[in-house]
Amino acid sequence: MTLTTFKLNLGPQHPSTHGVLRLLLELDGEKILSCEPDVGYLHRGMEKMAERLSYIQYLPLVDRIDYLAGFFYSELLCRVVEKALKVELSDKVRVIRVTLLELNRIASHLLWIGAFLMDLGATSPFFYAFREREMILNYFEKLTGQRMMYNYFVFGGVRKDIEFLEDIEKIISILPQKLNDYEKIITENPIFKRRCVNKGVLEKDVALDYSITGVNLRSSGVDFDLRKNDYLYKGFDFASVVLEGKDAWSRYKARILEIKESIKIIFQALDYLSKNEKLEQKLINPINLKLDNGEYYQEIEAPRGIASCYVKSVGEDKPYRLKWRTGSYYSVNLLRKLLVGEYLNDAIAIAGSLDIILPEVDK
Amino acid sequence: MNNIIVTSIDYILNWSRANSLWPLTFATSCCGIEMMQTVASDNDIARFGSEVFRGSPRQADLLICAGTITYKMAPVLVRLYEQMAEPKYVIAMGACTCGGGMFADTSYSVINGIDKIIPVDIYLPMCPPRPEALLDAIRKLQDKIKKESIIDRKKFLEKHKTKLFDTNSNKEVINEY
Amino acid sequence: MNINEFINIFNDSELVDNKIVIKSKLYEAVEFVKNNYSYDILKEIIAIDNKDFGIELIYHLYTTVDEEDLFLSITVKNEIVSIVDLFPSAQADENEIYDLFGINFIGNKNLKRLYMPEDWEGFPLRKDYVQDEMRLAWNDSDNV
Repeated sequence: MTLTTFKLNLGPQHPSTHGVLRLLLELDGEKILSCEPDVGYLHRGMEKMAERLSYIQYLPLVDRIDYLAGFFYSELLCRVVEKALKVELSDKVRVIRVTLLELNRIASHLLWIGAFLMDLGATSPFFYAFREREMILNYFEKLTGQRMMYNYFVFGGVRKDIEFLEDIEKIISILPQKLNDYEKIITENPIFKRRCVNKGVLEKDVALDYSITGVNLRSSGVDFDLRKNDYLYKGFDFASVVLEGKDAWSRYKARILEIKESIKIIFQALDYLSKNEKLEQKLINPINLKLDNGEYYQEIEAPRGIASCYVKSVGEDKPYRLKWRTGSYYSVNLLRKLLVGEYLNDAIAIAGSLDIILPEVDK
Repeated sequence: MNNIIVTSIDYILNWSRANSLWPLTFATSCCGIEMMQTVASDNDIARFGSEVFRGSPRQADLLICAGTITYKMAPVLVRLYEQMAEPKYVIAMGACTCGGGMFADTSYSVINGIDKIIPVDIYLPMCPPRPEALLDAIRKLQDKIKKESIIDRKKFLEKHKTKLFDTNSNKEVINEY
Repeated sequence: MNINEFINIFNDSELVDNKIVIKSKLYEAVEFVKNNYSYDILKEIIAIDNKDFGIELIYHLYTTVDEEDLFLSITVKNEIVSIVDLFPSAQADENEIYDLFGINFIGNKNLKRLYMPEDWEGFPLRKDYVQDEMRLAWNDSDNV
């Protein structure tokens, strides 16, 4: 008698694939023999659209590449244009941007905690995480007028001076207690640990081979954080979180610790902002904005790994070619390797622990 | 006499339909996050009887189409809609599903509105709509259900059928699910 | 890394603003920098359609040891050797470029239409791409 394997289709409409990810799994009983990710259900052609729109027309669109961390992508596009025109940001603009980026990182990680625990079957952390995330979104809405698609950074600076500092202060003074609450109910929870410890072990070499960056790489023991060399973060004192656990549990732990580091950065930024210096910025006139012939490249540390933007210009008011690098796309590719040999019920936990978000994958 | 019976049946059916709309978890992009936020603590969709999100289309009455629909996703959306049991309602959530939104005409892969392929009851524009707006849309849908008659609904669905094109022959595909 | 040493070994290559342009032997070049200069991450492959000059592929490598970036550029017409057995992450990039630019990577057996539906015609990110007329018919329908 020969044992037959069978194929299982997971997605694209599935509550725990975080969007429209589709996995074709080959199973032997409950053991996964091979995994073939199928993406593209949300491919909106962002890169081709850049070739048809001018820079300022394209700027509001880029928030949609990663709707959980929209600030990062508009920051990236602004930085490319600033690099091309050799514009240095003033200290105040730098600090405003860092504050908002780190708040956005916290919001993104909080959503991940909620969604990940929901995937594992725990409903309450979802409500807790969304409650805290809502505070941050409310602040963003107060400042920028939108909850998720901010369009607040512009070429050469920010749209207007930062306001409502007392709101940020309130958020970051509440958050540490709330994080302790999460840790009490989640981190050492025996059920959670059973589902995460030693699941989806990502060795250092494999992570590098598969181009994994960001928190996922740092929780496999590689100290690689672009923020350390970024001039935006100059003068800020923070440590990048490096864990040696390599499994889903340490990826969870690393995100909790990273939120704490972000809180530290925001405290330092608030110290500076509360001096109420005058906002000095050399805004670039976006009308008829043309970049010189050449290629421009910029990368930043986004919540889901390194994000980068490549622009080739031929002297027109539109990019000749614009390419995004997003962290999640490589995490999806990693599933080919990481899911093999695991059980089907761990597949969701492992895929969830990598923090995949589909608009980043499909662009 | 006939009319009285039909209206009374309508009243009872509509009352029960309107107050227990079970949505399908169909989230493709940004609006899906706002949909999650609507379920979460601050906005609490349970107040309007719609907290039971179903993973399977067979058990759902309401398809909240939250997010951009591309050509690759379109057959999936049509199939999910066809798999839902009558009575079924559709809310087009977000600018992309109402008419293509920011991607209309500039993008090569986005459908300019899901009303091209499935019938839509409520349009909810904005990019993305706030959770309160989604709650409002559900309330509006409930009002609509409470007023409708079975016969009108049938006429509406006959007029707006699901539609997909075969790219090779450019003819409409007849769904056989 | 020592760029002069690299250019001496691959003698048809030259340095053009921050990127090394090579004419052939892509696989050997990537293998060489991976083994000798410990370039351990392939961050991405960027493809640019330069119309008549062909399609330029930029391989962006990074070393976590020396913390340096390297851009290797090669211009191709329709096909190029795959480096997926050197860097498994190239599978993602090569499949994307296969789908959007129509370049065949020899040696990569897993190539398929990725972002676009299977029956989609044309390669969207090429400069001479014309939008699929058939699909546009959907948008013209008056179902509303």
